[in-house]
Amino acid sequence: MIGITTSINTRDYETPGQAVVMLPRNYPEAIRRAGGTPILIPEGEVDDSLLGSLDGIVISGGRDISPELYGEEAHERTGDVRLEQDASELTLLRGALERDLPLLAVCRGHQLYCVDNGGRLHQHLPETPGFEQHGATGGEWSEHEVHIEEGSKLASIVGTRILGNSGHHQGVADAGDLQVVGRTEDGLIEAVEDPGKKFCISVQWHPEMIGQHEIFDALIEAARS
Amino acid sequence: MGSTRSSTRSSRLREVKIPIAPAAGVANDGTRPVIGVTCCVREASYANWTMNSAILPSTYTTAITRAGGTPVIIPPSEDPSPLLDSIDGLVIAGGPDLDPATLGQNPDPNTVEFYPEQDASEINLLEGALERDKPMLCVCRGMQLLAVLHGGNLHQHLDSTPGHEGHGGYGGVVTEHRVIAKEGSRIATLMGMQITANSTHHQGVADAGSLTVTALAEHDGLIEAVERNDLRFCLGVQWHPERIGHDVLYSALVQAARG
Repeated sequence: MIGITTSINTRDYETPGQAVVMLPRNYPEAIRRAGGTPILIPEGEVDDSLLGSLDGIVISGGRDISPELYGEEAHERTGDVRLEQDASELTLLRGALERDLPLLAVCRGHQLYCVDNGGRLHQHLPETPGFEQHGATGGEWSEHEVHIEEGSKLASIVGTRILGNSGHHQGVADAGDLQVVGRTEDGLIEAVEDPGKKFCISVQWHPEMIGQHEIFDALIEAARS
Repeated sequence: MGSTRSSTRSSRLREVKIPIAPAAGVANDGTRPVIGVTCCVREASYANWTMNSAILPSTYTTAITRAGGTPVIIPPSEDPSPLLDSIDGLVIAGGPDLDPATLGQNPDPNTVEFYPEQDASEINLLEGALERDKPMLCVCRGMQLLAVLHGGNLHQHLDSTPGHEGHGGYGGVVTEHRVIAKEGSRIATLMGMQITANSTHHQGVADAGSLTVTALAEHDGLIEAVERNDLRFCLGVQWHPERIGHDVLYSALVQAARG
């Protein structure tokens, strides 16, 4: 069973202005396609009974993480942060890593994982020197090539060149203690790993949206072993 | 440098309070049963885009947490029943109408939004849970599905069903009415024999099949609660206990799941 994190948003659903737990469906579908059983994890307490029932986790994309976590004031374009979600996901992330559960971190998850390992973020790429043209933001998507480090776990799964989709306005400026294994042409950190773990891969793009099944296949294979 | 960063983030995180605590009196001895809850799939909006998404009101997950359980959400799939081996209890949540074809009926003009895929997923899940005697609470649509699986049937639109016109709110309108529970039933044991329930459904159970009917709406006799006494915990309610503080039902589910 693979746990996937979710987001709480306020939406008109069943009743107006209701707090709802949400997750794009392509995450559970990608897990299922790879032979795993997806389960969605709502924000809240994370304890041993939950961690004990999981064989792997995906920290999904979503809202910006709180800049306080990397000791910065919020940029004017950093909005809609939710410290409770950050805390809940960090508890899950750390608990999973302690147990050496396979981990895939995506987009927001990638940023959170890097920050938790001592890294920090560019809060708004369109205004960050050198990254102004990184990719689409504001609901648009673009594509760019990511160069993957030879010899890395990720390269063994997808090769040394892969197309990543881009719809994010923040990016990893510093991956802390993690090993950077993928960058775009402009040098942005797009993929990191912890080679000391069984399976610990973190990517800025969204493999679940663009049919990069091999990444999910590898996650499930690691979760089985 | 590393230690500065480390102290910055850990000191900040120590201040972070997750705003969901177990209800007073709930023992947190590390045995929080994992409770799966079903959800719907809809087009849903995010900050800048819309995506086909799993979606569930957080009232369910917070009610399970308050009751001492650990909630996880089960997205619809062809057959989610294998994951029943990894969870301790189940909530079939409210949601859209059942497909009239699932009921063996033609659609009423007011039955316009239904999802055969979600029905099929929840039927497999529910059948698997019944086979395994997993404790379950079936809410609104969930109770209707439970009744159908036990050979029952539904009124597709209460407002055009003789005797049930004006049963309660629907279409976003929520009303309240009194429900009378049968003495000695599980629902009466948990909530007493007179219950104030919320009402926000336009369909209702016409026939509960082989289930035991244990509560009726006072004003029109509509079936409001069903049970199976041969299982550890199998309770269906037509109303939404998670929205109105009927936490005792979720606590009873979690307690049964712990057993």
